[in-house]
Amino acid sequence: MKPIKIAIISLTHGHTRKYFQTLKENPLLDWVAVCAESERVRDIFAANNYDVPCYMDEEEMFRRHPEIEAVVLASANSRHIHQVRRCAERGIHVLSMKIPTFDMAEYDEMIRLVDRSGIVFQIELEMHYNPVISRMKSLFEKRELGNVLSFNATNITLSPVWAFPWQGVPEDSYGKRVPLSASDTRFRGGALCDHPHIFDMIRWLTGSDFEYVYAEAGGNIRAGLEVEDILLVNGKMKNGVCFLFDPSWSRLEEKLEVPGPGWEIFPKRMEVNFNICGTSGAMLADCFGPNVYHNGKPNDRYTVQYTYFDEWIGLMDEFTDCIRNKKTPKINLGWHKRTIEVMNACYESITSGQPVYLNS
Amino acid sequence: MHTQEVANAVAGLLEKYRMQPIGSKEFAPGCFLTDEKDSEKRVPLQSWRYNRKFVELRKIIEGGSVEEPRMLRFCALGDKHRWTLHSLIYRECDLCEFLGGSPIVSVHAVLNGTAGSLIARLANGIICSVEVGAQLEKGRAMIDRHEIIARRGVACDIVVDVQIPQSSIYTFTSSGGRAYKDVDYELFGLDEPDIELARAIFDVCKNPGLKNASRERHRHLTAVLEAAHQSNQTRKKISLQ
Repeated sequence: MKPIKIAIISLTHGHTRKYFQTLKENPLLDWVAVCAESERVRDIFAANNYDVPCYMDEEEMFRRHPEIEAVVLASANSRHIHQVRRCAERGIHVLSMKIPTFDMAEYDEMIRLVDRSGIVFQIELEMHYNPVISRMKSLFEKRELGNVLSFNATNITLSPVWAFPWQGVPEDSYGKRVPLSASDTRFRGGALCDHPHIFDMIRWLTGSDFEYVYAEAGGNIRAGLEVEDILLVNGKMKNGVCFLFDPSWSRLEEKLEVPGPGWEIFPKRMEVNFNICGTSGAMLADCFGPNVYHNGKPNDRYTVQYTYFDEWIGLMDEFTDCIRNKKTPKINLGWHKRTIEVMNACYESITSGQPVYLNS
Repeated sequence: MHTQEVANAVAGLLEKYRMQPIGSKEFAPGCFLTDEKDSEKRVPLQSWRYNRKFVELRKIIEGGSVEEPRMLRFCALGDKHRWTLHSLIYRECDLCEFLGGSPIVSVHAVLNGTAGSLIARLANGIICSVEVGAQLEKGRAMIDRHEIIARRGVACDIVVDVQIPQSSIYTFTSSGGRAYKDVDYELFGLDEPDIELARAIFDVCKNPGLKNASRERHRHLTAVLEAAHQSNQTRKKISLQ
């Protein structure tokens, strides 16, 4: 199979650096260019010493590299629609970050653009390429727990806003400035926007759809944020499964401008855990554990050093397979739409103070 | 020790990364190649070095997150159908050298049937304790601990305040409790030792020069094992220099 000529656009998303190694090592990819959104971002990329040309303007990058077949949209959520329009025009395949957009009119436009242009549009929900999730899926298929009764999950992290400021700007993260509620001075666009995985996983693993959700935002644990950092969600699926999600930024961090050692204050900077009960038993799962641990430099704090962060290998394998073999990615715009809708419903629930029912 | 699944996994990796196919059955974990002829016919690999927990522990040391290691505290209890005292000592002594960054220069061992311990010193001055036992029931995953004590910081593959390694998934059903640990999406379905072996073989395919280095380490570790048995018999510390 001929390697796919690929570029990364913007470099402002927190997951950007996850792609570097995979794009270099995967023999099915030929990483030809990147485009930085600012000089600061360009300098951070340059420090990684990858021998890949970096442009400051998308048009210039495309003009100089007409061979580009696919891009990773590593940008703020608010930039996605504009970039998707350009890519669709040029027939360039897209790997989008986990939130294509929260604006459902824009979302539908993206679907139309992709349908019309015939490009592959895959959404980066990397948990689908995590080996613990693969085991969970296999156990679900074998009905190890019988009928699932409850599905509780965490997707909790530190806050990336100091390194990736757009994640704390309501217009960039959520797409517009919408107050959490009439009496709240904060806006949509915080921790919830960063954590779609568990909303997606419950659908993937149970095969059911959301009936209703209730969400509540707590007071922030960080001073000065315009967006929410603590919230809880519960509700029911159409098959009766009840769920409780914690998608908070509940792990404090040092305010580093470039993520690196010593970023975390709480030892484990990120977790995706599940507690699931069924008619035949219970399951506890930790998608990012066990690991190794130390209390050394830079801050002498007890720290989890992760042993597995390779989800991007499987993700890019699927992307290349879909492009070359004209397949539809499993996490495509159609599948993911419901996840975005339910996240919006969570915000509506915070606003109204009541559960929100999802349309069929 | 070497399954068709490992051979298939290696073949899959070689195909994916566009490398020449090889006969992966010429490789085996060195700790199980006790016979000299065996280790001449097959390439003895220290495959546990490819376990991500050891890769990350080594990064913690080499990257300076813990500074100036002084002591290693290792323990390995294995399934008696898979492991022997010999193979456990081999593995743990190699890990002392891999993580300590220096060869073993002396050993004092006390062994008793399928259990025992040794105190070793590395050339760089780090002292090491190694506890081993081959008593666990068939199918039980290894219970091990690797702790590095440094002048600045402690690193370990077991989380603080627990005694045994953790798993990723626990199920509690009418058929009892079960634990699962899956660590490699590309090689999903293999257990940890098989993943280590597949990754080790794949690395040798990428870097054929590693074969000789691995054979050299095997000779050295065989000498360490002999020294351990000699120490146990003579009740003396044995130097390897």
